Formats: sequence, structure tokens, C-alpha cells
Amino acid sequence: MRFVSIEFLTFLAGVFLLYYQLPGKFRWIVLLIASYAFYAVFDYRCLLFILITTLSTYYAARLLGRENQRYERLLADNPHWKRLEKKAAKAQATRKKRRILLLALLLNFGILAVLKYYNFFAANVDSLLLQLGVQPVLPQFSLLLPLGISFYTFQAAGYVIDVYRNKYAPDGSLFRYALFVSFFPQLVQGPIGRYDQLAQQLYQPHRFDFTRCRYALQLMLWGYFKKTVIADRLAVLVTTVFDNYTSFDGALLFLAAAAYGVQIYTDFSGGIDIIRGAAQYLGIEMAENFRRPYFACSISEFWRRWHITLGAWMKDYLFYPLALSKPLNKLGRYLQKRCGLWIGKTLPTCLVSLMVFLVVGIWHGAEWRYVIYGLWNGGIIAFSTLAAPLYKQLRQLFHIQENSLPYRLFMMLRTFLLVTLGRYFVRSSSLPQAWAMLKQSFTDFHLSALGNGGLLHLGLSNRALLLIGLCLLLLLAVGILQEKGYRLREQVDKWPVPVQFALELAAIFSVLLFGVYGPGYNAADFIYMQF
Amino acid sequence: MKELLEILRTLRPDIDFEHETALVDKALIDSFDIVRIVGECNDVFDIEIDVDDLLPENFNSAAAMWELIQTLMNE
Repeated sequence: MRFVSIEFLTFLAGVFLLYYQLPGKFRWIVLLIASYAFYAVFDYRCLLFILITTLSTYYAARLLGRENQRYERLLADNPHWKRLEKKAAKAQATRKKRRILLLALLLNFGILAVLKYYNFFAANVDSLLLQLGVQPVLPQFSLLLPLGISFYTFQAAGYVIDVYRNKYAPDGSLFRYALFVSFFPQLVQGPIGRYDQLAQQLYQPHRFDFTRCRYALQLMLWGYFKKTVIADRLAVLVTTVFDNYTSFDGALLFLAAAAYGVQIYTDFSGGIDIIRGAAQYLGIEMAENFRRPYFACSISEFWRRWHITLGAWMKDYLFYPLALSKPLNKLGRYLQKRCGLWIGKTLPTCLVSLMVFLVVGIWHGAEWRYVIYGLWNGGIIAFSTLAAPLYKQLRQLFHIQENSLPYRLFMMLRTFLLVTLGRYFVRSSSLPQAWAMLKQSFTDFHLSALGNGGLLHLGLSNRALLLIGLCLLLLLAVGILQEKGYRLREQVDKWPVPVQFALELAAIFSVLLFGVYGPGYNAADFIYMQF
Repeated sequence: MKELLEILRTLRPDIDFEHETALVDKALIDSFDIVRIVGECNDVFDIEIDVDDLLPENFNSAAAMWELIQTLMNE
């Protein structure tokens, strides 16, 4: 059941009706049944994996919660304890908790690793053995990759780690927790929710609210517009160029990579708008996953605006634990003595950034091009951080105000170029193709190729290109207004009702008329669905 | 408190930690500084500052950091 389908809209309408018809205490059960039905329709075999993750993380969290309680009782029973005694008791509890946490994480990330990365690992080991003159030993398997496994595994892992850290008590109901892991709008491509922000919203019975439902409709329409009118249309151009890259000039390759950047943004953020809109119908506010990433002035800012929930997950559960670890602290102190304060402070953290982005790259898929994509982003962030004093000196030398509009525009353009270069790795079908396209972009770059009708050989008609141009202008205008702090939906709400109604109708018709549909055509799957 | 101020002055000699009360809000210290401050404090005071403690309000002033350290020392 695709989000861009009549089936999904019918399904959502059915859930909506049932949800608000039934008494409050049964509403979360409607969501649970709907979520499992939604998942089963995609592939019933995948239910086993989400069940394993749900059961293992639920019981691990219960055990962790018990240990937290036991430790707290111990402290309450022994108010006379000195610091050393408290520390010893805490260390003992932590050792137990760590074992439980490790087992839960190993099992869940182990499933993810085997299903998603085994073939990649086996192929590389075998290719290495072949080079050494040894027969390959690891066979390739046709493995099932459950829908949304990277999303729900990270969400469930975040919950267990939070309980380990005693951030909150574990959930007392297996079925309610199962809803947190499987809530159907987030199953396809996130966002990666946090238990303390999402779970209570799922369990509480929400009352029907007309304004909220209108907002939900508007958000979903905006998502459908981005996905079907822009992303799926740009996909034609991107596929034409990437599938026949040797026939195109370097300038057109770069244009296609930039177009892919816009495609993946409108595809992913459009999908998230649909997801958040669908949840809003049911009174549930899901985490924001995008904040106009192409307005970012640096790669690190880009990652704070792009796929925000993955970035936040990485920061809380990987970056900080690594950066605050004893070996990194020792390294920092060592470097501080040998190379000065700046290097001592930044180099260890840069190393951690690089490791985290390596994981972000691999999270996207089991291929070398994703490894390079992660290292490309992490490398730029590390370099920019280390070179920050140099940039500051240059700004002072040329009397550049950091917050001036021209400088910010320059930085936005620079960031967009760097992001676009990274896109070559994500969109190419292999690492050699990405390198070849990059090389061609730099060695065979002729701006003239963009004129002389060159754009008309990219699979799209003049009319389609014009439409994309207009849509991008609209996207830009909305982005600028949102950057300036305008809350557009609330502004629209103040307009006369007939105008609002006309606007919503216009939006529906523009999606129906300009969306990439037609006989025999299926809306393209969301790009992030494969991750 | 003296030890904490010494750590802070070593890591960022350019900041007046005794009087500044918006270190994070004014972006006088960044996440790199916080990571180093936490690493040093964990070692010197034999505590474990958790990821969940990395909130702006805990690092906006030396006094706030000291309060956090005291709380963790008494846990």
C-alpha cells in the first residue's frame, strides 16, 4: 500500500472513522490493529521481524527498569551510605544493566546487520580472497529486507537506551509499546520518533478537531504536491542522465546531480508531510524531520535541518557517548599538551564526527558509495571545524560580516555545491559510476551545453521544465516565508473561509492535474523507503 | 568551585567564567567546549555527566555547572 494511492487514502479514511467512532479507551487499539494490518499488506513475512524487535526491546526495557528501581530502593533503604558505597552500588547496577542493554542492541542491530549488510560483507570478503588467490567462501543469499527496518530498529533502540539511562520508566503494556514501534504512518520512512514525545500521544484518546483536520489536509496536500508534481517529474530527468551519463556534457551531469538533490528533498520531505498529516488527522503530532535544509550555510547546519530525527538520534546515542568516552578525553588531553588548546579540543571531536557520518552513510545502504557519502560529509565537517580559525581570519582580512546577506547567500550556495557533489554517490548505481561522473563533470564541463536546447534532451518537455521551474519558485517563496518565521497555515486560517476552501480545492486539483500520473503509471516509490 | 573555575580557565582562557551567565545562549562556548569540559569534570570530580545532562541551562554559567556537579556527586 503506497502513500500515493487510493488504497492508502481509503485506508486512512477507514482508520479515521473507526478511531473517532469508538469510545476513547479503544482508540489506541484501532491504531495498533491498523498498523499491523498496514505492515502485513506490504509483506506479511516482515511481521516476524518487527515482532522480534518489539518483544526483545520491551522485555529488555522492563528488566532495565527493574534494575533502576532496585538501585533506587537500595539508596532509599540505606540513607547513611557515603559516596563510595553509593558508587559501588551504582557500578554493580550499571554492570547488570549494561549486559541487558548489550544483548538487546546486539540482537536488534544484529538482525539489521545480517539482513541489510551480510551480502555486502560477504561480497567484499570473497573479492579480497579472490585477489589473494583463495576460493570464495561466503555465499550470497537472497535476504528479505523488512520495510522500514532501519527506522523502527533505531526507534526501539533509542527507547531501550533511554530506559538504561533512567530517563523514564519502561512502558507497562506490551501492546501499547507495540503501537509505539509500529505506528503505521512512520513505518515506511520514519521519522524516528522518541518514546517520551510520541508514546503518550498514541495512547491518549484524541477528540475530533476540525481546525486540526484542516491543517492535516493542507499538510498532506503539500506533501503530495512535492512528491507527485516535483519529485516524480524530476525523477524522469535524473534517471535519463544518470542511466546514460556517458552521452551528456559535464554541465548537464552536474545539473542532474543538483536536480537529484531537489528530487530527494521533495520526495523525502513530501513523504514526511504526508505521514505527519496522516498522524495529525488522528490527533498525533509527529517529530519534524526537515527545516528547509537548502537554506543551510554549512554542511553541519545542513545536517541539523535534513533528516533531523536521524541526526538527533546519532547525536544522542552515538556522538555524545563516543565524544564523552574516556579514551577520547585522554586523547584530547594528550593533544592539548602536544599541539595546543584548539587541536586538543577539536581533533578528537572531529574524529567522532567522522565515525558518526560513516555510520550515517552505512545506514543508507550496504554499498561503498554510501560509505564514501558518509565520509564526504563527515570529512567536510571535520575540515571546516579544524579550519574555523583560518576562516575567521580571512573574514576579518576582507572585512566580511558573518551575518551579512551576501555572505550568507555565498555560504548557502557553497553548501549546496558541496551537498550536490555528495549526491553523485547516492544516486549513481555504483562507486565507479560516481567517480566517472564526477570526473566527467570537472573535465568536460561546458556551460554552453545548458543552452542550445540541451535541456530538452533530458527526458522532459519544455512544458514540464517550465512547470518544475514555477513549482521550485513556489517552494522557494514558501521556504523564505517560513525562514522569516511566518506560520503559513495559521495565516491561511485567518483568510475568509471561501478563499481557504478555494485554495484547498486548487491544491487538490493541481496535484491531480500536474502530478505524474496516467494510465499504466504508478507513482514512484519513496526513495527513503529503500533505506 | 575553585577547581571547576580552574578547568574552565584552562580550556577557555578568553572567557570570564566568574561573571558570565549565558555561555551557551550567547554561543560563547560550543559543543566542542562542552565535550572537553564534561570530560575534565568527569575525571576531576569522579562523576558521570550523562548525555541527558547536556542541556543549555546546565552549562550557561560556572555556577550552573557547579550545581550539576554537586548533584551528581551527591547521587
